[in-house]
Amino acid sequence: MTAIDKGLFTPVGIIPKVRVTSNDTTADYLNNKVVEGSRIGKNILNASVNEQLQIVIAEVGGVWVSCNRADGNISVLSPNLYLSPTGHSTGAPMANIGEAQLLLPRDITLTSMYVYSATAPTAGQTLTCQFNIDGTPTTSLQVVLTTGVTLLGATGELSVLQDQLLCLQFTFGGGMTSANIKFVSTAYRVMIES
Amino acid sequence: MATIIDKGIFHPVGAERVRITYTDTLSDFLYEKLVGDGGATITTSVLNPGGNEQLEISAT
Repeated sequence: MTAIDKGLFTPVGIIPKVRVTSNDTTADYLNNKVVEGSRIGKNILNASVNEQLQIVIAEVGGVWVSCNRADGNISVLSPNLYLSPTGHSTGAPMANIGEAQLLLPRDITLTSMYVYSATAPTAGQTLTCQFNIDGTPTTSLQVVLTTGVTLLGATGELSVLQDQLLCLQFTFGGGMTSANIKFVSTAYRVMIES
Repeated sequence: MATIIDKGIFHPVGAERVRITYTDTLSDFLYEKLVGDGGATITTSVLNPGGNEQLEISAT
């Protein structure tokens, strides 16, 4: 074992990079050499100080929400509707934002959204479904139903942090005043420290 | 400016290998040091073998 192996000194010019195997042609820092595969994530801890590379496992899940009113209709009194985790019974709007928000127990990444409305928007009308975080609707992962469209999905990466408030928000446009929303589904990913 | 070591002209003994802790008795390449769980849950594989290799970690 050499003095270098023992960590007794770091010779000038030797940058602490690693190779994956003896056949590797390019030494690089550990973070660049470790690649996230299926259901794996990585984080740099203590950035710019005594850094550590944290490996985490991603758990995936999904939520499917149906509207359970007998008539299946959602009428509106205001331009925005908020989908409560407990659904809604009668009357409109679906919920006010305070009733609908979930306080997230941990960081999650939302990865998809699907919306089905039995009532399609007519000419010029839109029905937008968005995630609302801390009272602000987001546009990075949303579905906008337009003329004649009843089923639409979107995929993306939307991070929501622990202790943020999250709910689904519907917004009508173009004079649309009612919809017959049947279900909304969304998928998410949660990083679990290994 | 890249050093001759960065350029891969020579490799000093012990460089570009890693140890897990200070008490690790053997420095080795990353693929030998970072391992899966021995089953099918967490696996490692080498991307771009023989080139600019990367170690991919996956979970099933």
